[in-house]
Amino acid sequence: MTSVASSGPAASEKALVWFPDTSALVSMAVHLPLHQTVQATLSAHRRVLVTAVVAELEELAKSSTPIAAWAGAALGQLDWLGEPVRLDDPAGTVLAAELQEQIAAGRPRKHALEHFGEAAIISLASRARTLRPLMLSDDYDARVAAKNRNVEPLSVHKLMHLMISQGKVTAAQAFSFADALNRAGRAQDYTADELASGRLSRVGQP
Amino acid sequence: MTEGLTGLAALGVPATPLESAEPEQHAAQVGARVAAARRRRRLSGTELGEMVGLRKDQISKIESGRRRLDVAELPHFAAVLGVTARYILGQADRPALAIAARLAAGASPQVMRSARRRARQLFEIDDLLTQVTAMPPVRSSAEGLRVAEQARAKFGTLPRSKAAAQRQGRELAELTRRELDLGSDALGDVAGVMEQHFAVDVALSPLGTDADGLCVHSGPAALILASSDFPDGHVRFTLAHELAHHLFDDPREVIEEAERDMFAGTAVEWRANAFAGHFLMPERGVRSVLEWLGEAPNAVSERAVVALMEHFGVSMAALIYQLNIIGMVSYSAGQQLRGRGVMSLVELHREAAPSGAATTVGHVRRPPERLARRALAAAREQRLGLSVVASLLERDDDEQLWDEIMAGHAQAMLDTSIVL
Repeated sequence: MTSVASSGPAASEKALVWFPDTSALVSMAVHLPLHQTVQATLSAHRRVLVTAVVAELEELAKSSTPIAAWAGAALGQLDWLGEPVRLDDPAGTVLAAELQEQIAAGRPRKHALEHFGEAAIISLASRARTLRPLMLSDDYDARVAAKNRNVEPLSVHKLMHLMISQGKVTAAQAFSFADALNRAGRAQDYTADELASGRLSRVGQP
Repeated sequence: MTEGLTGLAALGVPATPLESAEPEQHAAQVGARVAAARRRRRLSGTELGEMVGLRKDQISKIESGRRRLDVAELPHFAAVLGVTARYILGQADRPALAIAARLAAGASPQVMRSARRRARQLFEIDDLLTQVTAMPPVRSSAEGLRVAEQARAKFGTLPRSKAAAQRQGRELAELTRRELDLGSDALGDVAGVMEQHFAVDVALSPLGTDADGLCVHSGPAALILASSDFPDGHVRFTLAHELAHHLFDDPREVIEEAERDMFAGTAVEWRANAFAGHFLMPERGVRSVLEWLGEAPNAVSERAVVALMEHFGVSMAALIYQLNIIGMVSYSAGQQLRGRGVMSLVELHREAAPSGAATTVGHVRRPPERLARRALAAAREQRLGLSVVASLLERDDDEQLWDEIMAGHAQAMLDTSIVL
């Protein structure tokens, strides 16, 4: 197994590299067709899974939170992302610790590792200067932190919008995915029209 | 968890010289700190390993710098060893974070836990906003500086008697009103006045009724926090009382106030209460209101008590305390008034207290203005996420909050150059 899963050619001058975070993997685990569609689309590019995301999923899976079952399911759906990458270099760990504090922003942690997955991704991705890193995240604060470190963030909903606009899914399919996320309490209700137009309020930002 | 693939190398990206500088030395330093903290906790390598999900030989390698800590392992080590992730990484605590850490670590009565937790959160947010938005430190006004300087010069010695303590409190209150040009009438926004002039952040939060509040001051940082689960008049007295501790340069870094603390029979508390009384209810102002109410000199009626509470925005206990201090109500008459019960008096003279502000429990959530202003701007500009605002405002309705704070603000458009 290679360090960075790769099965597609470089799309542009800088190759896209997707870093899915804990929240996005949990969202994908809610609805298998959504997971399969995202996996099929992102598999055209390089993908990186960081150990901190796996650790966060493990922490969530053994918690008594409502998303424990989805976190457990997500742990069983990680093969397509390749072997997890550690973040243990001095500059990376220091930056990740700072970013974790920034994303948490004074809010009490729901579990010991909360936000360490996103922080590790941004720390690693923001220093991958020869690549074009994209973070898939359903955490608004993590997306803001990513954007400020030149890592392009997308929520699952924003990815759906992009997929509609590039003909990867129909608006009706995207609506069924969004509806599943809404029913699971993972997001507000969005219409097919909103998904197609990209008028997605907070999940479309930044 | 696998230990195979690491960092930028795993992505095929070369590290910069800075990033690759002396990782072994760093790992050895991290390891030494882990070992020192483990020994302080009197844990064996095996015990620590069991607690963090690693083998004894892996702990040994970490402590000797032959295995680096993954970022996901940091919080477990920090929690088990009773230190911060910053300590393990060798990052110096910045001032606000250092105070927050001491608030977390310090022994505290059970009744003060929620106040300490909120204070710690506010110091962490202070640090975050300082780092991300280059927020300048809190500053005094020129008038406030003059008050602080005179307070240090005149009242550096702790008074020995109750009378002397009360005299000091009164003198500082009168000096403060004079320097700030506040006259002798009621103060409106006490928290705002304190923030405007005295380099102090002021927060109100519903913290229950076991504790009144606290004052944390250390170097240039100062925070006064009061529980808003009391009637507003009570809260205003607590704020003024804490301001006294700050202005008198109380040597304690954390001053915690349950009701028994505020009325403890000590010079420090007598002085702070006298300051609060004279700051909120100056004698000249009280006499002026009584004259307007047509009260006979040195005879304060029940109705006048209710009207004074309304006018100065204070509790009946604080008012009677002050009326006694300035010689307008005897101790026994004060006790009689208190025995009538504040609610029955207010009910009886409702027309004299139409707003009932002094007796209303507001459960107000007021973050320090300096932090709130910065956090809102940073959130709108997407330099920070929503959590910082939600933490400050103590809200958990993120969607609604986002709609409120982002209304009318430009938002980023989708980058269509991403080709899936």
